[in-house]
Amino acid sequence: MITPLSLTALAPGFLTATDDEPAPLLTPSAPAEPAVPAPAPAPDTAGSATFGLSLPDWSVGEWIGYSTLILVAVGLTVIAVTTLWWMLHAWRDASSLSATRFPAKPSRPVHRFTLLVPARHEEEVLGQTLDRLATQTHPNFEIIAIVGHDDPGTELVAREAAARHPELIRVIVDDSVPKNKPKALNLALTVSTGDVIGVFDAEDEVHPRLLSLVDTRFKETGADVVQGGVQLMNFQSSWWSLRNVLEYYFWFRSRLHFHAKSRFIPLGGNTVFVKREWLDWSDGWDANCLAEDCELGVRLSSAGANIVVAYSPDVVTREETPGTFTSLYKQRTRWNQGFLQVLGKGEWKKLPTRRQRGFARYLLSMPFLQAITGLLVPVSIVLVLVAKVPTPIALFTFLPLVPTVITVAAEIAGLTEFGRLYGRKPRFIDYVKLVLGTFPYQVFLAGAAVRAVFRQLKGDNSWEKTEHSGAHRDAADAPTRGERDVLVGATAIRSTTSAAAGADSTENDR
Amino acid sequence: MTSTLDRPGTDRTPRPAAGSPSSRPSGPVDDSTGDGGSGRGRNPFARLGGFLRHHAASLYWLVPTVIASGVIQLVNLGGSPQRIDDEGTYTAQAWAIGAFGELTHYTYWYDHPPVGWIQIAAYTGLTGAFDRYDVAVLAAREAMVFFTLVAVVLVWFLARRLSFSRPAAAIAGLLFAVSPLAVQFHRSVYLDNIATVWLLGAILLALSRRNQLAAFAGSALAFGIAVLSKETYLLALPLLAFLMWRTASKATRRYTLTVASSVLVLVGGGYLALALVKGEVAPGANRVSLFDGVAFQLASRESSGSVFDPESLINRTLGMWWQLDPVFIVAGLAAAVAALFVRKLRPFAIFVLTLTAFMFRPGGYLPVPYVIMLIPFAALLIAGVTDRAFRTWKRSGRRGRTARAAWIAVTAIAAVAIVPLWTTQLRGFLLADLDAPMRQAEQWVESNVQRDSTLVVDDAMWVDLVQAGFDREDVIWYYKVDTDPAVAATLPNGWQDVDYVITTDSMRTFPTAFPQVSETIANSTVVASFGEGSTQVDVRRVDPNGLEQTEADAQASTDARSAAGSALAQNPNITLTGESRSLLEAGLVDSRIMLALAERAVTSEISVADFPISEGEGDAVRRQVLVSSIDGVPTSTTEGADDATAWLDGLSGVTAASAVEDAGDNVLATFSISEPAGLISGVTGTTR
Repeated sequence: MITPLSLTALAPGFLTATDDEPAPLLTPSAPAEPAVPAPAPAPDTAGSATFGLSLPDWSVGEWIGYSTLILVAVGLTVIAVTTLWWMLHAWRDASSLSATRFPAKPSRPVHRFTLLVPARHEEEVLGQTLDRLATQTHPNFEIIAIVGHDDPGTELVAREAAARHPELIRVIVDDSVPKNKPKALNLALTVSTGDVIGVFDAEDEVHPRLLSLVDTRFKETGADVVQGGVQLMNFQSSWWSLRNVLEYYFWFRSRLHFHAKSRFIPLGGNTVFVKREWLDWSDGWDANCLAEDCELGVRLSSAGANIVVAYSPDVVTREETPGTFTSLYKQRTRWNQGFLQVLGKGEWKKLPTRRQRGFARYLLSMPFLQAITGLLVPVSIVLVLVAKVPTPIALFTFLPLVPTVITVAAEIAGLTEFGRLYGRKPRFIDYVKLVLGTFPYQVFLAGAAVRAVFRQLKGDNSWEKTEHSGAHRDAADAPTRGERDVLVGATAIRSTTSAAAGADSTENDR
Repeated sequence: MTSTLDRPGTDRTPRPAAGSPSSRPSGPVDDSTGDGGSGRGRNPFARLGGFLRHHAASLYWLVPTVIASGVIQLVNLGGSPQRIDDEGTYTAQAWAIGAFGELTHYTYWYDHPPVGWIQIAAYTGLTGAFDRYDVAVLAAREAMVFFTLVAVVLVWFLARRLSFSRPAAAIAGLLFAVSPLAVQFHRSVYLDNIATVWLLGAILLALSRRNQLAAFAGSALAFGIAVLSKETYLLALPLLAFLMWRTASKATRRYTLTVASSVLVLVGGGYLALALVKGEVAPGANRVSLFDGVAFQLASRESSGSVFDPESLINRTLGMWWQLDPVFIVAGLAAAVAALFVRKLRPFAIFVLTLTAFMFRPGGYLPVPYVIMLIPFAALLIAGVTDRAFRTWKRSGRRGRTARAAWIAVTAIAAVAIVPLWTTQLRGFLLADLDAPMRQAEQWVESNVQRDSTLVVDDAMWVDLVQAGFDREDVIWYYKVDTDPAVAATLPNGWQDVDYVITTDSMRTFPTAFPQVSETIANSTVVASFGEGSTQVDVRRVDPNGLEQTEADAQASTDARSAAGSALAQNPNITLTGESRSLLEAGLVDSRIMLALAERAVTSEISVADFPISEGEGDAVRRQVLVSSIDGVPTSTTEGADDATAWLDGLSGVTAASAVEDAGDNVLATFSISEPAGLISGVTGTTR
């Protein structure tokens, strides 16, 4: 409580006034200057904050650091989201999924096919592959097996098969040095007689009705190139084969269709069918490129060829993953390096629109971007949790995790679907491997990407071939059984014999 | 069909020249002229015109619906209903984001996920709404209008997606926007209004058949935002999940649903990440945590009581809804029952009925805005069932026709019943200024209370007072006095450290829940009071010596003033008219006024017309004086007015007037609320 003020002293007269004495009030002395100012509330805006978007109070270092974090997070998110979108493209709605399929019924054949099967140290699997190819229901085709002059074992197997099907199979010997797949294909092209050239690998398990369906596809769509589905099968061999199998599944089932739609498509190495005139135009395959299949696709796309992709689970070409982790590593290095070569060669610059060129550049860089993303996402999150950064920025760096997690969820769904389609129900442990393998596989991809860049810079252009053991094959079943298969169910493949890879599984031709 | 680069036969590229491998073309690339380069960029106005023509039939219905909804929402937005504490809280939290860069104006404690008021902050930040209103809550209410109008459009689209006719879709939109129940809640700053928009969006996307993968991902994202805007919207998850499952194409369902559920989990994970980054997931000493926040919402919420107890909270809440629009409630529930027989509407009917039943679960807590989630669906069902009854009339059999006729009759009766009901209610919303007491109280505090005072207030005026210059720490939201240790720490002496407490209906409603606030109120006296009944707002001054002492002091002061006033009344130089004499004698005139009059009366004759009461102050001591003439010169003349003004303006020191103004024929001097002690012996004055 305030005690009586100085007025008591200054004007004692009226302050002591009492009841019935009006006098003092009638004769007060004027109050003198007060000791304290009167309490007059004045608006005071000093303490109030004005509403508006003000910039945070950071140092230059913080600005740079935080901006970098945000930019990296945005970049990673964009890459991860596009990868995810491409991966799920086929399932974006029901009509697009049905558009990815082969027709249910083949129509009357009109083309003559030449099937090229280059084989190198493939005596274990080649014979079966050729026999099975010979059972194609299409009435008009030939098979050319190309073997190396230094590989008598494979040559023998090929010649035995040719003897079994003299009217269908021819064997030619490639004596070029060093050898690689595009050279073998180019050689065979010179003696081929079909108006559509198809390529298969020595270990491929091809559905007997495939050629009829491809023929129909050419006719229905007026395609210049038809890329059929290829599927690795042995997902239960190891944790990385599981991931490798799923990569193939999403690539052929979905992502390639997206590339086809965007008119820029790296073709696959087999189950690819090209019209003769386009191969003549392209001078066959580029013998100097480590990813001759991708390169051809880029050149044909750039020239405006009509490339059609079709995937029906029941007629996919079945393959196996490379036998060892090392050979998968070398295979991936080769592909990545091939992509780099295609990027460097610049054929894609002939694409008509800026948009397509940008897309091509992005796509060809994708193996590297994707590898970086896989590594940086966990790293950045650990970094943020350890280092103290402002909450909104910390939250922002979690953003790339969103597409990453959705990708894993979609892969889980994909594995279930794969199991259902191909009659091999995944076990619980497979799902565990799938999830736990996510990050190690990204490390692996990043390693292969780095190695590819390194080799390319060094000018090392040698061909590291992938060996095959037949792990995708049903050991009991001969390959020649499917003529009357109706295109509904998938052929069950019961055993997954994962034969150990041969000692000299890869070679270096140079 | 397979995917193709080109349609067969159309715009084929030049084929390579067969059989001439040597002449390798640099690439037959001139296809860009073939199709890619064809200019699609038509005149934008022409395109707009085409769009309008194409959608004219819909726009004729939708545009008036939106306009009518907008008018009903906007007119008298600030007047009715009176703003309440919750509105102030969300407003203050949104304001804190822009003003302080913080998520809330107090420590964020995970009571609600923050996405709702972040959106309010985004709206006000983008439109500058806080700069446009004196009352901050109105800026947030404007955001509510925006969200509601978006929701009206979404209700329309949802109705159309469910195959309603256009008039039925428009009626659904109108019911959603114009029912008095809707107006009351859509105008109020409730997070539910924001969540409704996202829920409707999520449902619309979940019913999409084209581009289902993206649509479902978007649906899950929208639903996640809805739940993070208002957590009760998680109750709609079964509805959304069912709709998605039913809509999903079988062939792609595995992926669409996987992606949708992961998106939803990830959005929820975003909230977890917030707590993780702030290090506030698990409970710990002296800190808030996500766990505690969730536990509070799930476990600690007091039950709203039983429906059978007429005094229970649930009955009060239900009574409030019922009073606003009984017809809409009855019609909505009846439509929900009827819609059980309509396949397309069945999920929504089950949703409405389940949520209605959920309110009555024993021991449950029923939030007042719970009804907001039900309004759009009730509106849809009423319009949908009626539409259906008309449109399937011809197809239905005898029994079907009876049912349809019965429904149409019920709707007709309802339509008649709402006319008087809605007219009365909507008149209230469009005309009544229920918020005036709040504004007057704020005005009173802003012009009479010193800026360094400590105030305990309803959150509804928090931002306004802070913007008026009170320190953020000194304006204390009453809720925090009893619940936030950091706030309690600023009041070491409890209520004695508070200078003013401004009470509203929400502060008076739960006296036992906030003991410290109750004690503060108990030791305070009303210095200004505005409005009456539930809209009443009191400004109460707290005397640190306690209520008894305050009352004793007040009595002594009145006696002293009365004595001095009676003496002054006998001064022949002072002419008192009207009630002024009795006021003076009763001790109801401020000692500063008496002092000034006495001083001047030594040399002049003064006429006092009145000692007017300041607005809101009831029968308090008068601190205004209305002078009508001085030295025989009336203040209606310039000379007299100037003289009186000069005199009153010249008062200085503790007796200085805070304002002197011309009031018609008189001159009015106003003195501050703080009467100094001791100017007249025995007057204890007031602190502050």
